[in-house]
Amino acid sequence: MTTAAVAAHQPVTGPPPGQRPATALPLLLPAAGAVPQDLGAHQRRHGNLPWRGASELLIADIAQAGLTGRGGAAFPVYRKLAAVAGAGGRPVVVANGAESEPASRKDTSLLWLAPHLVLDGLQLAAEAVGASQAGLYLHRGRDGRLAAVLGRALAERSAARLDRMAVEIIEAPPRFLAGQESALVNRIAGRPAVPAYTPPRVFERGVHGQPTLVQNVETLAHLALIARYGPRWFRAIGTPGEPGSMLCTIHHVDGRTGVVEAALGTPLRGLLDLDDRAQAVLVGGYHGSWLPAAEAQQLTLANAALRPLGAALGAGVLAVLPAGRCGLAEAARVTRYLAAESAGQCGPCLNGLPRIAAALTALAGPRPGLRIRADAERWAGLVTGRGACHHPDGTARFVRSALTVFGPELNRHERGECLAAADEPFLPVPVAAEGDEDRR
Amino acid sequence: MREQLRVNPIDCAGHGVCAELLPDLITLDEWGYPKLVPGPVPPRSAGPSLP
Amino acid sequence: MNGITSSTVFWYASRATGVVALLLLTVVLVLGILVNRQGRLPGLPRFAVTGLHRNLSLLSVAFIAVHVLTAVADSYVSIPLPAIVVPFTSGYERFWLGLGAVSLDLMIALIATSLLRRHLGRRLWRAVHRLAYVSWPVALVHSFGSSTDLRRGVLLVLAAACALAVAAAAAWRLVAVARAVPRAQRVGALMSGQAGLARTDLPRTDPPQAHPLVKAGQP
Repeated sequence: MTTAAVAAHQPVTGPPPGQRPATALPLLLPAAGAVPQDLGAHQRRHGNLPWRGASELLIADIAQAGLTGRGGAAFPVYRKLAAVAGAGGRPVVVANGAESEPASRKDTSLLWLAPHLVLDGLQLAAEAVGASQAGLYLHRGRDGRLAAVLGRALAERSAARLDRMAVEIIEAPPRFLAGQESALVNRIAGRPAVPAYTPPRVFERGVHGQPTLVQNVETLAHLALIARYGPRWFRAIGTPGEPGSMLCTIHHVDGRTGVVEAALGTPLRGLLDLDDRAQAVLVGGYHGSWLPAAEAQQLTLANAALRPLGAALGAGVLAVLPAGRCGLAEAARVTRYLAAESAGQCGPCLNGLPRIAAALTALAGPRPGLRIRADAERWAGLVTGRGACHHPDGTARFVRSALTVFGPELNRHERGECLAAADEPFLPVPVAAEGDEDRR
Repeated sequence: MREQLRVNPIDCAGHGVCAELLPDLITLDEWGYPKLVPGPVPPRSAGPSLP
Repeated sequence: MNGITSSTVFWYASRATGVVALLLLTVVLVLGILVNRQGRLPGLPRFAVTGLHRNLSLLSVAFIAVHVLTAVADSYVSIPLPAIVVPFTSGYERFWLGLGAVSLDLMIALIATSLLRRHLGRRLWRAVHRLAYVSWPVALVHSFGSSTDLRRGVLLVLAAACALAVAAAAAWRLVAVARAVPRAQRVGALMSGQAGLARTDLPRTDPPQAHPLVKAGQP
């Protein structure tokens, strides 16, 4: 087993086509530069699309590789593939590139830099489940440039007669819940991109009532590599329980943001600056958990290490809060955003999240009073598990971890003090959205 | 046969009739929405359906 | 001697059950609106509203069954059996009885979709159920046109009271529809119910005010 390695766009010589690459990272992202890899560059690096013929072969390889979803839920990929493949009907496969988490940029980077790896994975997944339709779900982003890049990539493949299944690009509205899998299905059906009640899960009944495989774009990229180089290659890095590599969006303590590919099990102190400039770390994005910097120093990039502390990798967002910031103000701003992004369909979420946001806003101010913290905790408990999706649960987790980790700051605010030296926001939060018209 | 009681939170409009009919399984939160007691439903005769 | 023939019995039975059915349907419609507005009947538990609405609607069907069957059985007038549900096919009073058939057809649709509600989508159920607002007035016009009973005396007052009750309940429903916060704006309404919440990063200095309760669920 090689030692876990980390690289952020360092030059690496590519292997001859079809040969196993050394396990030095990066694997998903191109070796150097920030230029989108066209089809030629992709094929020189990774060889041709390895069609498998029979679905069981790829699914067995994915099972052996232990690939889990990289969209946040970490669900075993082979089980979704097997469920959709075995469900009959006319399955639909959708690559979910709608990166709605404001603090995450890894899917966008992957699609921008290595679109053909994702599109290979989409074709292979479609073959594995016997799909009759394939789609790629994307936010429009700034001026629709990402969709243009993907459109060009698809045109290249079409000209080379590479794809066996046509891929339709579907636009996701710029809302937080748009990337949720049942919201995605709703959007494809022409309805607003808000979650639906499950069961049935989308892999049983999704687009047009057919079994639908929804897979994050990074997951599909890993799938495309495993199909080429095999499960043992994939397991050569990472940990036995969590093999392989993952893309992480890192917000450094000095304000830089970057996307890196890291082996699972990498110590966090190798990825982040956790010296005394750092106060706390947000792990897993805005539905994730806060951890004190000192605690994070001892942890690794693995759910096995994080779960006992109530945290999880999620979609790989790691944000280090600098020492001179008020964690409660940051948390309050994010919580207001999350509350505004509620679909407003379920009573507990609709009523609870705005109240929690208001409470956190008060706690971020001077002398909030003792009852407000108790109210916030109570409401966080009330909304958990009582919506059609996990938006209230994730928000509650984020809020409760903030109240725990920033407890000392709460006490300071109670006395009318705050340790913040800087006022401007640290965590990225979009301007508040205006209503439902933009959910279509 | 063990059955699980579930609420469709999207359709639920907070009438509160369910809590009235099944008080040992359902209580209402401070906003009028149902909170279910976790676990399977103990055997009982079929109840009326709800709005 | 001009005795009471079976025809006369049927005729009176049809008229009587018709009046009772109209009364029952009025109560059913008003109760239906009460269910939607989450109102209560004084002294009764919440489920009584929906329970009564359902049970009285089935009772109305029973009365209507007697109402139409006695009319058909009455040999004095010529009303073929299918005319009960096929509008405007009766020999006798084709138009007014036809309206009755229309109203009954709509009622059958309402009740059938309600009984099969679990298997139909919510949208379909609601669309059909709204036809109650058509079925009732049609039934009222049918009642006025088919016989002179409701046009004078106590029954006229009764019919007017029923019409008033339905109009008032429907108006209440319309006001609620006009006031309802559309789903798209529910979150925004709650968020801005808190003054200053729309600002992004400056901390507040006073405790949050009570938020208005905004109902989720289908409007």
